[in-house]
Amino acid sequence: MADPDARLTLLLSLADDELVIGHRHSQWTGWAPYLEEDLAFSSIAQDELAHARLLYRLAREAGLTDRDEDALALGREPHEYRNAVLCERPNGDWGYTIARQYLYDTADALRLQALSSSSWRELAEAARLMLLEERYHVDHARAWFDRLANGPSLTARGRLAQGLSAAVGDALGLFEPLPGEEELVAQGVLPRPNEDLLAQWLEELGRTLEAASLDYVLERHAEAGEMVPTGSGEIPEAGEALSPPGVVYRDGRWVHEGGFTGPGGRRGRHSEEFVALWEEMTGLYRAHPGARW
Amino acid sequence: MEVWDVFGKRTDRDEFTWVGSILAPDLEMALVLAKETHFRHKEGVAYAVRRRGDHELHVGPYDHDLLGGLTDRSYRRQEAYAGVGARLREVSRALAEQGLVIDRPRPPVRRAAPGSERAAHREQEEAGRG
Repeated sequence: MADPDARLTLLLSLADDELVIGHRHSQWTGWAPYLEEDLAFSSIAQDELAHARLLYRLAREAGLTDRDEDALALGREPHEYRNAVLCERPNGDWGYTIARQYLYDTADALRLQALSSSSWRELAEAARLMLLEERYHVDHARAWFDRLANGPSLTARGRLAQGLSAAVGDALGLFEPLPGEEELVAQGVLPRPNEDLLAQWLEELGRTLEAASLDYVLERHAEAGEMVPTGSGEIPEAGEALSPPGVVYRDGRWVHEGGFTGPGGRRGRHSEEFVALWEEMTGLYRAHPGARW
Repeated sequence: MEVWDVFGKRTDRDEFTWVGSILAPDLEMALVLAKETHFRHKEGVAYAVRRRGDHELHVGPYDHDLLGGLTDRSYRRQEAYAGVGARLREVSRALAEQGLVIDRPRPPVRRAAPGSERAAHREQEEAGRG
């Protein structure tokens, strides 16, 4: 079995994505566009938290850490979290929220499909279980995506397009290579490398955006280059933060070009927005260390 | 938006019965929303929606295991709250030793003074119930 540190990083990457985006989704509770959607989106938030819990528990049961699920979810410092930056961005409007949910859940479904054939039996079983619930998340995201993109409201379409433009660069960061990834792949723990998953996800995303005449989002991202704005809107200096691969349209499909440079969420590099989220999310746990609830 | 009636089966042997209604713009969205508005607590094994005024019933696409989720949802059940009061007192005591107060004492329950107008009203209400 692969190096325990690499396996822990893999689990934390998956679990922290779910925890942090689940926390962001839960901030819509009471504020979603209407009551039925409020319940549906809150349920999705709870699913994501349940998935994080399952993965934290697996890390403990596999002997990769002494920390229990509460300590893993709430007892770490911000730089110890391994979620992609996409998951921590503020919710913005409903257009951004749906754009992010679509980008995230299509990517999550793809990696869970891959992990369902992992050589690590317990992880494969967890991935298969989560994948069953993720189907609903993808159905939800697609249903909203179609209505905002192709519905009667130009405002809604514009908001979705703005959301996609804002989120697509961060979404590439979901596929940032993990420390120790080569070994994880060689031993079948991670059946497909992140770059391979990125290629498939980007091609499928490109087709969806073309069908909705929204592929200009990718064109604009390609023209903007590889600079990623930080939370404060500043452009980091080269090497300071994660720079994802470029995207280009070639031979009838969207493909990535080049690799990732600089540290991103998988190496504990987060946006300023994450600190505020972390303070809120972990405040109670930190205020009463050792308390049992 | 249109009103969609939602139907559910408690067990495989049951017929669909009406459980409530939702607002949704079309069939696909009605099926997406009805699942979580009416079946997220494992209320049944199958669900369906019907546009109010129509006759056609549309059965939800999710397997019965997926109604209410597969992962740990114990916090949603009432028994998950058993012993919360005792645990709260235990935590309060432990934190009080560190000089921390997490829960102020509840104000005493105000009973109506005997012979007052409020007490008479309450007696009348209770007699009516009996």
